[in-house]
Amino acid sequence: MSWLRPCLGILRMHLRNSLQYRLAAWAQLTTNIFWGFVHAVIIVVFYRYGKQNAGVSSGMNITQAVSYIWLVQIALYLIPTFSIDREIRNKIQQGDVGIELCRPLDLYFHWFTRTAASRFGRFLLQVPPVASVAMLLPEPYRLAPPASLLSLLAAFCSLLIGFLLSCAVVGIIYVLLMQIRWGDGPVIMLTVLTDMLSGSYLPLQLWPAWAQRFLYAQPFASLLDLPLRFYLGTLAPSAFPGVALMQLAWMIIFVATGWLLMQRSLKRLVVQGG
Amino acid sequence: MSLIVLNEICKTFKTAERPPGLFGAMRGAFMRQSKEVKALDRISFSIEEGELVGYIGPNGAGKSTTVKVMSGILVPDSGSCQVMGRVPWQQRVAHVAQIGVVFGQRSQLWWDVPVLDSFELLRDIYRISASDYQKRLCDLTDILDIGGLLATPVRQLSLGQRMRCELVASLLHNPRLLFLDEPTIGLDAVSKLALRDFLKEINQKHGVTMILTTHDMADIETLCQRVMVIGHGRLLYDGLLDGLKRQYTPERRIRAKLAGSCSLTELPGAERLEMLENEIVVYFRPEQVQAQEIIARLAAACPLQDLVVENQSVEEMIARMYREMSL
Amino acid sequence: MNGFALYWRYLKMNLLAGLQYKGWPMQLIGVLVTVITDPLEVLLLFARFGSIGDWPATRVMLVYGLSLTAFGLAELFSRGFDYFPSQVRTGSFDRILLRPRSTFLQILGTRFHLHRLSRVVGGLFVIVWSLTKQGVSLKLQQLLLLLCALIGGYLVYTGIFVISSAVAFWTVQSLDWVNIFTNGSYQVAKVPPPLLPGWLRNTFTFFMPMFVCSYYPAANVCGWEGVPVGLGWLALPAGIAFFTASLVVWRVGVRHYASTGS
Repeated sequence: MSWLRPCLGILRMHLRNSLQYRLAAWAQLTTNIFWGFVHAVIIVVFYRYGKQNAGVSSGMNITQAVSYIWLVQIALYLIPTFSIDREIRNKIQQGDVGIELCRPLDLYFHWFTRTAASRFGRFLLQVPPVASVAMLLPEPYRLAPPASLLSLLAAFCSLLIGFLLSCAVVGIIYVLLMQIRWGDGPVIMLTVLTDMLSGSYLPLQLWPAWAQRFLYAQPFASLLDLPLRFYLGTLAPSAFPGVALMQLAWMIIFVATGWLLMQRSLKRLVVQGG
Repeated sequence: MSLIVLNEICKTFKTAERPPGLFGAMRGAFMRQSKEVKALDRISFSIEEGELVGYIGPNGAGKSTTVKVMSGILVPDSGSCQVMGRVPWQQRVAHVAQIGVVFGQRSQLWWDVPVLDSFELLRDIYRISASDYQKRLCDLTDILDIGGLLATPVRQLSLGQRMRCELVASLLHNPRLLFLDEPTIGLDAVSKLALRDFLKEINQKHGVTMILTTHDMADIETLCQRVMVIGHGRLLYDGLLDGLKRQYTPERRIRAKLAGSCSLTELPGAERLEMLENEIVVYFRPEQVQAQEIIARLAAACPLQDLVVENQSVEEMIARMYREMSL
Repeated sequence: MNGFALYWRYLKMNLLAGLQYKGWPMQLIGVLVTVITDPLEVLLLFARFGSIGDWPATRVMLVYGLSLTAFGLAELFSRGFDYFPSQVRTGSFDRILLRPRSTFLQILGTRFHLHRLSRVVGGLFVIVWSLTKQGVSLKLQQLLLLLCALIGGYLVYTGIFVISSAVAFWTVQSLDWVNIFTNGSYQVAKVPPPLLPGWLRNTFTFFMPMFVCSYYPAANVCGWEGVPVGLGWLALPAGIAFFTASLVVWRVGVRHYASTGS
């Protein structure tokens, strides 16, 4: 388990760094809470004043929709891809990849564990404050408790797999970043795409009815939307094995693709000097 | 009326302390602990127009702080300061238009664009008239030989080339006063010599007053007659370099190569002797005995092949001075 | 050379430096994608819910479009302030103080990224679309009102950038909360202002007058009920007032920096 110690080391370092920049940490917290609140307000206004009752047609009522928004805010550091590990990104852009290769670890899995460790650290710091504030808000803006204990468990496990899947997605983004000539553009587009399709902008169930089947099956739903459905109760815990299987399948596909792509691009590495 | 007058300038900084370790970080997240550092302690001096003054001291002594006060970007806690008749920080824009500052480690040129573009932007910032600008640019480009570099982006220049462009940039607006903070740091020998020659020339020919902070003693020796030493925020010496040398290198030495064997334990007039392989080193005090007397006595006492009269290097002198001043 | 001329010089220089960077068309497209997908959330909700009260999508989009364009303009011209905190940290603010020009002007000219034009273009597109769909024909006075709204909004957002980076004088790091008032504020514009919780609406009307520069002018131009005629003209004065206040904060910040060093 040689990867465990560096992971813990990174975790500890991230915790310490986060605490040191205390003002920034508080600011980040309040920002997250505010964002969650703004989205909740938007959802509530639509549900309350909307002409058509989408609560029935989408299978998601107002409480669930608002809870979803808060859950996204809590899981923010675990899942979305825009929080690419800055260090690694800067390293690629400065051409230090060559130096990383000198380390006796397979590059892909080294990066994988690094991303995972740093994300998990930040996630742990954010959960207690955001969750407690969200639960204390007045109706209908608050985060509702899970549908059942089993639902919570199912959601947690599913989220964990989704977490690993998202690290795999980031892996592919790293490889893309190594194609230096393309610059930021493709990465931004990919990030936006995955964010949208993972349901972090809007619960997938509120998207048009005709797209639901596709949205369910596409890989990014497995990142965030599907796991959260367990918490809300829109997916029963009994559906867990099926969903988990699909998540794992996507994860394997992404990990394999990422690893293969990286091997190929390492072979034709262009070092950007300066 | 002196160009620069500082009187009893004091400045104290508060630095935040963060205890190490995880618990320390948690404590630091809720309470702030700070430490007070006295950066400047009643600094007083005056500088006339046209002087070239060296300003030395160990790291953290207060050199950059003094320069910041004189250039108007730092307000001292107490004391008075007048530069060219103005209080620098009270009339920042007017003051800054007449001074130039060169930082050895930070560039004032824009990184991604050709050097000439930077110069033109500076021309606009300093509101230099077109004719003045052209003339000065030509002169400076000529002297510092940067004609071939004007079209190159700054990030592609070597350190020596960049330093030369920095100097041009800082002189375009014809400042009366120039502050140089470690200008020769990291430069190769040729560049250093060229830079020193250049600084000497503009000081002597154009009367630009200069204050040079540096760790390179050769800079000081070549350029400055007057030297100020600062340590722990206090001005410890302000006078001629020679005086400093006399105070801290009272000894000179004669290194003589022996043509044959010689056993000498003492020599009249010499402080002490050192016997090496086939060398003899004689230490003496120049104010007590002349070098030629020692040489004559030595030559009479031993067969000599070659000899050299040395001063203790300025570096050694400075190190000794810091030790004695407990810096 | 006066201030404006100097600013244009900075702009040109940044533009040239930016065009040298080969990835800029891609970056432009990338930002465009972000801009397009941002209102998607609300449009999808409108698809599901129809309209909100008597606010169809077109109305909401107009308010949103005005906020977005104003923000885009500020991003385009005033983003130099975003990078300011890192300048304080590295000490390059010293160099800015050593130049005989206003610090504000110099920071303003620090950055100019062409790809931020995408947001402005996107916003303008939304505005035009919304006005066309509502069948509003524009007379000169209304065009002028819209222009004032955009300029006022630009001043407000620039003021936010200035204040947020002025805070860096004290904390040395930029704070994330500025996001609330930049990206966050035009998110709030996705919902009809009358239907927002009172305190939220008031914050963005009186504290940071974003609605004054988007909702009121939009209502006046299209003749919506609920907003007295003429209120829309408050946009420009509100923007100027806010911007002036931010300059005061900036000056205080510079003075603080000069007395504590870096």
